[in-house]
Amino acid sequence: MHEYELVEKRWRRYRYKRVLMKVVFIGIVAILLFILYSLLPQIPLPSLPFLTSKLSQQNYLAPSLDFEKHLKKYVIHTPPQTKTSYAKKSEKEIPKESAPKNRKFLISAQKLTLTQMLDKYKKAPSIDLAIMIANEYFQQKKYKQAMEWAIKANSFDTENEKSWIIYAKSAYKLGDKNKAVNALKIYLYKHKSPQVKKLLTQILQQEGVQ
Amino acid sequence: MSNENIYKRAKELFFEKNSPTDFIAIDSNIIHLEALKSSMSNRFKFILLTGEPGVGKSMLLKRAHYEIADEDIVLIDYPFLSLHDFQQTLSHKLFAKESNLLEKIKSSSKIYTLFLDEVQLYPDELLEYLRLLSDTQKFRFVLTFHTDKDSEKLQQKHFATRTYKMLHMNPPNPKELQIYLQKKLLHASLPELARTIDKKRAKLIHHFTQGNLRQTDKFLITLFDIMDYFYTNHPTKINTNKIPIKYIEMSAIHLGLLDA
Repeated sequence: MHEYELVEKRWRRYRYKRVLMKVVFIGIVAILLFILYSLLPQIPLPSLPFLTSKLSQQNYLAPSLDFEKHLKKYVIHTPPQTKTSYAKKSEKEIPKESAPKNRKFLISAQKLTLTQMLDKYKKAPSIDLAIMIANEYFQQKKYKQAMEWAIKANSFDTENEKSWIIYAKSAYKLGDKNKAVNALKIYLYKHKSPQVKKLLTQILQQEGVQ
Repeated sequence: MSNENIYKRAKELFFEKNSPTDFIAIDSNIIHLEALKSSMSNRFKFILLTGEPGVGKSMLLKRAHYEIADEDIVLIDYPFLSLHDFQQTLSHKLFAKESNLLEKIKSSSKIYTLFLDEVQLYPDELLEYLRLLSDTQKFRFVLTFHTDKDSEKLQQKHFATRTYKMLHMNPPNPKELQIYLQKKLLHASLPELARTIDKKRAKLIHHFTQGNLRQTDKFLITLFDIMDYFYTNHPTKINTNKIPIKYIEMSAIHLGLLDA
């Protein structure tokens, strides 16, 4: 066999090796990308503070949202001591008129003033208390403080839905619609939450909350 | 492509002939050639032309000698191992016979220019003699050196204070190499092959030869030899108007420039 035919054979081997190396490389890259992609949903949500660079003090909207009313109920019916019952009750919407008369005493006895809540939080900080305080501020139309406490609550658990909702509502009330929408979109990117979705729609359409 | 075996012709073209007419002008050597030519009207003792082996110093020196075409300029393109050999050759070249060189020079009113190639191979004694000749004001020199640590020391030791100009040649870049190859093929009336040396192929050849012109010529000889073989024995394998990358890589494998 002529030497150049042997060289051609060597070239074929070289070419085969090169193609093989390319395939292996592409394969490794593809596997790495797949692993990275599958890990993505497990990456925790960013905490709220990154959204709080500027709190607009101007251009307050006069929103038609009626979630304040809803939040009032939420606070009244939520005993701050137990996390589970708080969560359950918060989802219920019991009209004031339909509540039995004998529960009135129980409810009023459980309601804490803002000062008491803040004292309690000082002694034993918790996500539930932070959310309650945020809600209380929201009811008092102190939206900036409500946002700050929503952020505090969020720092306990970035996945906590209520902290995102209060934050978004407060931002909206402060006239920062974009911030509110962004926060809700970030949450929805990771979670399927009908409540958040509903709020987002309301904010986008500037409609009243049902 | 015509039926004529153009690869055989191309192969012959790249065999080193060392003729100044084979000089291919590219950016990097045109500048130095012009610098050398313009220096001839000035007074100087030494001009040093340096660069890596295979960068085209010898060809540039020959081309400058060819273009200047002055009878008082002598080109010696081979090294000497002894002073005696050098003196004999010089006498012969200048006065057409062996004679006492220094005596002859004293009586001459001319200033001779010596183009000496491969000076890094000269013994110390001979370099000292060149220095002496330059001090007579009757001789001036254009010397080529390979660039390495030893030759740098040598230059500093013998010529540092007498050097008028130092021209350093760099290997051509891929673009210059492409022009070098195309011009060379065009000069030999092989336009069909000149056209096939595109940017990609020139870059690949440059990658293997690092722009070393001697190595590039050798590479092209191998490339066209391989193509000549396949064109003659397996014509079905060469059915394209371009030089296939395959044959460039095969040349690199054959020359040990590619590990396969």
